[in-house]
Formats: sequence, structure tokens, C-alpha cells
Amino acid sequence: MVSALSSDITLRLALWAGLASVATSLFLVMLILCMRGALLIRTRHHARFLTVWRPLLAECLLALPPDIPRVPAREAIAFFNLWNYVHESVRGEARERLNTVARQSGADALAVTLLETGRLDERLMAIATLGSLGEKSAWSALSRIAAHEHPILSFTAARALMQINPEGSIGLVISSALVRPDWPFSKVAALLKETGADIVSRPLVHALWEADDRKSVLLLRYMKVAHYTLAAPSIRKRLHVTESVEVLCACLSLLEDPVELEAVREFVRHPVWAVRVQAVRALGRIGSTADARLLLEAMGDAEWWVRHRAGEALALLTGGSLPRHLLVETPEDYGRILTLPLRREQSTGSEEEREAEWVPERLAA
Amino acid sequence: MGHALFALLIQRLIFFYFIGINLGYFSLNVISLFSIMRYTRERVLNKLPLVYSGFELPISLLVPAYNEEANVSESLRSLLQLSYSEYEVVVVNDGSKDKTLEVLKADFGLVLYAESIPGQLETKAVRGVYHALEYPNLRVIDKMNGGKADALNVGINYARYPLFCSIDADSMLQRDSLQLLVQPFLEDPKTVAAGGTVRVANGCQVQGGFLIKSGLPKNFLALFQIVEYLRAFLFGRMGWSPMNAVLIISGAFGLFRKDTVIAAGGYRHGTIGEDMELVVRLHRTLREAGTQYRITYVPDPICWTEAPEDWKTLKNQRVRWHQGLSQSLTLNWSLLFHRRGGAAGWVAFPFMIVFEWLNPVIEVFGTLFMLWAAICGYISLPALGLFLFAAIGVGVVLSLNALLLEEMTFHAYPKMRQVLLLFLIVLAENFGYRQINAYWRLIGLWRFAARREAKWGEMKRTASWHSPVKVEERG
Amino acid sequence: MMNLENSGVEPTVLIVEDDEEIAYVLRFMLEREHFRVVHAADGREALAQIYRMDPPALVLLDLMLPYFDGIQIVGMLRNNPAWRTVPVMLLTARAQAATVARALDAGADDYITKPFQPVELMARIRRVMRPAA
Repeated sequence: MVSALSSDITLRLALWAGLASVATSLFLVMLILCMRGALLIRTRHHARFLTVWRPLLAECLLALPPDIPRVPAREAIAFFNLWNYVHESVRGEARERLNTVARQSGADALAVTLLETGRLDERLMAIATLGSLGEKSAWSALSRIAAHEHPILSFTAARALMQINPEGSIGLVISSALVRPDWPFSKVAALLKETGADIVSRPLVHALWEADDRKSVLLLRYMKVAHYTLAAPSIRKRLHVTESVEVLCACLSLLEDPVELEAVREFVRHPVWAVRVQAVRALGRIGSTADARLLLEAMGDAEWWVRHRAGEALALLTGGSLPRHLLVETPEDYGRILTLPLRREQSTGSEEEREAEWVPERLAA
Repeated sequence: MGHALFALLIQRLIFFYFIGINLGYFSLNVISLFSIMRYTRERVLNKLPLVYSGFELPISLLVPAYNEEANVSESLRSLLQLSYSEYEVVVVNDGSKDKTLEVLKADFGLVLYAESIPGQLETKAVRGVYHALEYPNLRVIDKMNGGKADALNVGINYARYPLFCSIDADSMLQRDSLQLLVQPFLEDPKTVAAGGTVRVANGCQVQGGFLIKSGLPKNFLALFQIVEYLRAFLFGRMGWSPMNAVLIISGAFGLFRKDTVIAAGGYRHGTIGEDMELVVRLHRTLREAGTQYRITYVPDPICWTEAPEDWKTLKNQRVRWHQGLSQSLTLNWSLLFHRRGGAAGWVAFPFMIVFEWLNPVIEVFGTLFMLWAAICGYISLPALGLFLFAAIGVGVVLSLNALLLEEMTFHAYPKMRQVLLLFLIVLAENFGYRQINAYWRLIGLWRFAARREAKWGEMKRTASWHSPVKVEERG
Repeated sequence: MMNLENSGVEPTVLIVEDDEEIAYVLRFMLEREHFRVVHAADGREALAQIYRMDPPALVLLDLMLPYFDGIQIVGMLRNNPAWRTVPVMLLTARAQAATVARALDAGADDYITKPFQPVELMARIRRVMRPAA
């Protein structure tokens, strides 16, 4: 009976499993200890590296230091980390001097090497460095990487291209952003913003004239970084020709001048409530006190968001001082919203804009 | 002979279960090893200084508070100092019986601000909305008591921003944690929820709601829990994330899309593990509707929380967690093998049932059976020893793997001595701690089966702050 | 308080900045210009310094800090009689006009946004420290 259980194959398996575990455990313990040892050594190396390079980079923010040592290949990543950090913290001619330091220390050549042969993190660092350097010779390599399937790799390369030659790469960046859903909207928008409205406005507007409804939704969302006066004609045109609810919402959320006031007023009665939300918000921005009655009507809307936004728009239009005779007509207890001095007035209104991107997108789905 | 045959059968069953569970965990381990490696490499540029572009997603932090007068102000101060471009803090006072509201009023200069926001979720009545004069991004909602789920739902109703983050009033967020936790929402617009890592704060130096220096506690129960948390987060969750099958996001630290949660009905009243139930329900409803979505675990945003240091509190916590797990699974049963269930319905859910939910049954009865079999002579003592040897060995390997992942990523415990102490704990937890844990979870399962309503347990406090966090864990 | 300009002692600058790299760079540049630099890495250290040290010639203050933010620190500083007239220059990563406006309302003298121009920063520091000139 004893043998029935113990001479079983399970027993042998258990023995192997146990022995294998002991072996693996010992291996893991050794591995962890080695890693910790390596970490300690790395930390010490890094501290030494910092004592050399920190003062050097700090010095070059005000004037170029006379002696610039070469960066050894094994310190490349540490150098790129520190150099990029300082580079992104400053503006102006300090950046030029940092670039000179990178070139004279041979870091640019190290970046070019890592760009092709490094691990993912090394390549990313190299790309960022070449971008900050404005390294024109890396253009073709970076263009190739900008088409890479890896989203972070390709986007980082696109950003580097924009830093090296914004006019020459804005077209590529916009067209890629339109076909690459894996490029995060916020990062692309931030890139466009950092490049500057002077450079990105015209290409964006140009792309919008040609785009179908699907692409224009995205373009309209990027349009916030463009000069409004340049974008306005294309936005107005879209507003009238589009069949798409999403495009309509995006257009309405951008309007900043009362040219289309009549059209906006009509959209307050649009059958799709996501459009009504954007219309009442637009009224809050561009409308006149004459629109108070229309907004009050919207506060009786069947949809909660329309009522809510209409209340806010009304408060915005009337500056929290709605005429008393209108206040009495306010449905439910929304009247109270209208008397609030809205926090938004203090806080730049960015909350508004960003929520605009979220709400209709979900609602239209 | 009948007994022997029975014994053989049971033994086989246990054996296959043992192989299954360890293969399962081992696979999760391998997956998380690779995903963490890729993750840290991809994020290498995130360490560069942030330039706010105005395209970040604003976040509402929801902080339910019930009888927290002792520490609510300190934790709020730390929450108000996170480095994130735009966020607000909404404290929901869930009808506290102590002076929570009064303390807040005094410390933050609250003024009553009757703001009418008709909520989209049904909740208990709101008594007042307070704004802080000094802090434009802080509001306190005072409501009738209704439990944590109800408090969170009120928070959702009053949240201004499209993303909300649920936080326990007594846990400490690392300053950069929101910035890191929001990344999946930026990178993939399909993301509806993301969870970060929760770590044990015991033994760390804490000052005014801020963690000054990480360290290891002296209390051995807390030490065991450190290893448990490392296992649970670093491979328990990281392993499921690439498959989009993360079923647990800790209630102490999770970021959600507000509209998705509202569409799913918000937090569910009367559940014990309302945080886990919500995430499983999100999976179920989104799968059933055929919606494309992602629920992600992000390893580097860190929330520190205090673990219980005495047996009784720990026991209550584990019993409650297991009841919560039971509810979460049974309330969303239809996710199991759903036509469109994907990895969540076909892999993670069954795995959770067999290897988490029912695990204490097998573990406790398995151990008892082996003892019985040995006593009756069905298994020789050396054989019993061999089985134990294998079981403990594999357990140690899995825990060491978690330590390896920790070493590869955060190495939060910098001293060599600390590493050695953790090795000891990994070994020691197999002798008693795991077995007792299994027993507690069995009690949880039993209470659930007996439909005993667990109360909103008020855990005994070991320090000024603590927090019940959900960790899925095997014994 | 003593007149730092004429005392022959190097004028002191208190830097309140949690970004280690930026703090280093600032200290380096200021020491180059013969300032004595005291660094506080968070709001609490800054507060401790307000009670501990003699009022400096200038406070360089980051807006987003652990414990207390820049706005709160400006407030506390202005409530301390000895520190009431110390020039405060903000360093801010937030380009949010509203936050800067609040800090200026609270009593800060000038601000500079990150990323900053080192030459411009030094020029402004010199100007703020000699308001009479």
C-alpha cells in the first residue's frame, strides 16, 4: 500500500521539482546579489562621472569652458542623460554652447553609432540627443526610423526631425500623425505646439482643406495649436459642408469669433446632443447676451450634458449676473450654477478645452 | 484498498493542481519579466524634464474619508503637492461620526458652496459642498453615510475632469505617480483604467504624509507582506497586462475614465471589494458590448500604504479580501468563457477562480490530507518530506523571481543587508505564514458561502495611517 | 538687517528647488558670480531656512515643491518681518498665467519660466537685487 503512493512517478517528479527549485533559487540569489553589486559599482562610477561633467555643463551655460574632455563610449548613456536633461532645462544660446560641448567631446559620434546598433533605450537616447543637437547629417537615418513600426521609437525620431529642420519635416509629421493611431494625440499636439504656430499653422490648414471627414477630426483637434486667424476660414467651411457629427463638434469647439454666430445658434437645436453640447459651449464663448434666452431653453434639454453646459455658458455670458426675470424661469435648481463665480475664470480655461476632446468623442461612438 | 485508491486519486489531484498553479505563475513571471524590461527601456526618455504643453489630461483625485480626523489633513496636504499639471482633489466625507469635516474646515478654510450638480449615479444624499479658499483645486463633499462605494460614486458625480483616480485617505502617493499613471491614457485612447503599484510603507521614514526614505520594518508580519506585495504587483499584475486581462486594480491607487465607469454603473453598493468588483465588471460589460478597450497595469507609479502589523487586523483584512474576491467573481460570472471574453474571460477569469478563489480549499485540505495519508501510512514520511520540499522550493523560486524583478526595476531597498533580509523572509514565509494565510482565506470563502454580510470593518490602526489594499495572493 | 551690499561679505541667495540638476546648475552659476548659496530641496527645508538664516539678498523659488508650494512659501516669507523686503524670483515650469499671477499677488517680485535662459536669469537677478539703481 505504501508503494502505491510513494514509488509513484509523482514522487520522482517532486524530487526533480524540488532539486530544480533549489538550483534555481541558488542561481537567483547569486544573480540578485551580482546585480546589486553591479548596481553599487555603477552608482560609484556615475558619481565620479557627475563630478566631471556636471560642473562642465553648468559652466558652459554662461561661457564655453576651455578644456572639454572626450566622453568614453561606456559613459555615453550617462552623458546623454545629463546632457539632454540640462539641454531641455535651458533656452537660448546656452543650448548652442551645450551643442558645441557635445560635438567637441565626441558625443555626437557616439550617438550616431548607438542610433544604429544600440538597444531600444540607447537608440531612444541617441535619437533625442541628435535632435537636440540639430544634427543634419543624421537626417536620413532619422527619417528611416520615423517610419519604424515601434510607436515610441518612430515618434521620438519624428520629434528629432522637427528639431533639426521644422519646415522640412512638418509635412511628414502631419501625414504620419494622420495614419498612425499609435502616436499619442497629446504628444503630437505637444510637439506641434513646441515647434510653434508660425511653422505648423499653414501645413495644418493645408492638410485640412484636402482631408476627408475621418482625418479632419484629428486635424481639427490639432488646430488648437495653430493661429486662429489662419485656421478660421477652413474651419468655417468644414462647419457648413460636413456630414459628420464628430467633425461638426470639433469645428464648433474651435470657433472663437462671432462670424458663424447664426449657424451656431441653429446647432443648439441639432438632433444629435453631442452637437448641441458643443453649440451651447461655443455660444458661451462667442455669443452675446441676446443668446441668454436660447441657452435657457437649452437648459431644459433632454440630455444632462447639454443642460449642464448651457448653464455654464450662460454663467459665462452673463458673468454670473443673470437678470432676475430669467433666473426665475430656470428649470430645476440650475439657477444656482448661474450665480457661481466660476473657477474657470481663474484657471485659464484649459479644463474646458480638454474635456471638449473627450466628451463628444465618446458620445458620438 | 478503497481508501488507498481514494488517497491515490486525491494525491493525483493535488499534484496536478500543484503543477498547474506553478506553471501558471511561472508563465506570468516570464511574461512580466519581458514586459518590465521593455517598459523600462521604452520609458528612458520620460526622465527628462517635463515641459507642460497644455495637452495633458486633467485628473480628479477622489478621496473617500470615513472617521479620518487624525490624519486626513496631512494626507490631503501631500495629495495637494503632487507634480502634475492639472488636477483637483475631491474629498468625500462619508458621514463620519468623528470630527473629520470640522478638522478639514479648520485646516483648509472651507466655505459652504452650494453647487448643484445633479449626479449621474444614484447615491445617498449630499449635505453640502465645500470649497477651500486657499486651494482652488480642493473640494470637500459632505454626505450621508453610505459606505465606501457610495462615497466614491458621489466623488464621481462631482468630479470635474474626465479621468478620476481613487485614493485611500491614508495612502501616500509618490509625487510623480499621477504623471506616470496617466501615460497609458495618452498612448492608447482605448484605455479605460490603469492601476499602479502599491507598496508597504512600514519601516519607511514618513513625515507629514510624505515618504522621506524607504526602509524595511522590524515587524515580521509586515516583512512577509512586503514580499507578498512585490509578488502580487510585479508579476501578478504585470503578467496579465500585455494580455489586457488585469482583473484587479487596487482601490488604493487606480485611474479610471469617468464616462466608462458611469456607463458601467459606478461602484457597486454593498460589495466588500468594490475596487476589484468594478474592474471585473468593466471587463465584463465592455466585452459583452464588444467595445474595444484596454485596462493596464503600470509598474512605476507608486503608492505607499501601511500594512497591518498584528495578527487580528491582518486576519480580518485577508478574510475580507477573499470575500471581496468571491463577490467580484460571482457577480460577474458571465465573463467566464464569454464568446467575446478574450484573455480576460478565457484565461484570467478561470485562472482566478481555480488558482486564487478556490486555492485555499485545495491548500488547506491538501495539507490536511497529506498529513492524514502520512499518519495512515498511505504516504511514507520521506515521500511526504519530498512533496513538502518540492512545494516550498517552487514557492521560494516564485518569490525570488519577484525580488529579481524588483532588483531589475526599482531596487527600493538600497542596502545589501536589506536584500539579505528579504532572502530570509522569502524562505521563512513558507513555514507557517502561507498556511495561515490560506486558512484565513478559507474563512473568507466560508463566510461568503454562508452569505454573511461583512461589515465595513474598521481596521485597528497600527500607526496614524493605514490602508486596506487588495492584493491577489496565493498562500 | 545688515546691508549686504556694503558689508563686504558675499551676498547670500536662497535657492528653493526640488530638481537636483537645476539646483546644481543654479548654484554653480551663482557661485561663479560670487554669491553664497543656500539650497533647500523642498518646502519644508525652505521654511526651516526662513527661521534659521539671516535674510538673504535674494530667494530663487520654484513653484512646484513637495510639502509647501512656492505660493505658500511666498506667503510665509512675507509674513516674517525680517524677510518682508527680500526680493523673490520665481522659477516656474508651469506656463500657466494664473499660477504665476497668484504668486506675484502673494508678494513675489519677478518670475522666469523653465526652460530658462541662463544669461537672462543672471541679468534679472542682478536687476532685482538692485531695485534702487
